[in-house]
Amino acid sequence: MNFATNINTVLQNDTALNALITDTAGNVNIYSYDLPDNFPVNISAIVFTYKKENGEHTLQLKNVLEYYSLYIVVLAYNSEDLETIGAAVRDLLDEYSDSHIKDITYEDDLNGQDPDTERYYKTLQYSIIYKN
Amino acid sequence: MATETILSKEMTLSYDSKVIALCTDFTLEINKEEIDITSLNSDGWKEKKVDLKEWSVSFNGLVTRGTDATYSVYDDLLADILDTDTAITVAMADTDGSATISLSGSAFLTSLQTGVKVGDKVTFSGKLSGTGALS
Repeated sequence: MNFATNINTVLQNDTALNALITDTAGNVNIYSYDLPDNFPVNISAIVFTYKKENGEHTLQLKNVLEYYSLYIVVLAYNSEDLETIGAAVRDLLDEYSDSHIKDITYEDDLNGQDPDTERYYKTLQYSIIYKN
Repeated sequence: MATETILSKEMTLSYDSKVIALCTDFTLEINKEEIDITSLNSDGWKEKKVDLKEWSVSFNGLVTRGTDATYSVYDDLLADILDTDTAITVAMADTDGSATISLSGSAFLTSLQTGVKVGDKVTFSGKLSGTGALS
């Protein structure tokens, strides 16, 4: 399992978070990199991107551990939903670990509103130690 | 002219005839003792002779859980520094067929440090102090 798939699975499998970002058509709105074209502005969603920062190498093995920055952008049409979904993400990830995601640390966030769509956004940044 | 460089990935450090697992780097240091024989007849330059030689290896690695039949791991090193006062066989070699670097000898594990930092992996560093010849 690669990093992106792993993160997507973790987010998709959390029922509390899913309940907040599932639209009336039953779509769980979690995406990587970007929203789908013409995504409605009144539907809440999560978009995540990531960057591999570096790897831990030994004499015989490369990338024994990998270090990633994960950016989770929460999008909502009002600030209350934004904060609720943001809190659900933090509840899920702040203490999360599994056999691949060995350690995750909440680093920072950035909040704002897109003036064109009037959609609120919150970018949560995490540092992750990952084992492939 | 020989220009083929040896890469660190070709190198192994063995402890007790087993490669140290997840070793990230090591340094072999060989020193010769200097004896100053400068005299009034030395024409303003220091004169020296060399005497005894000594060697040591310092190394770093990542701590793993448990023991391993194939590799020397942190658990083995910890057990040795706490409970063993006998010299251990140490060997350094490049794994290329011609083995340009191939050295071995007996050494005491004289230092083992464990590094723990929040949000990071656990590491170890150690020092092997050679006893007798390195050949």
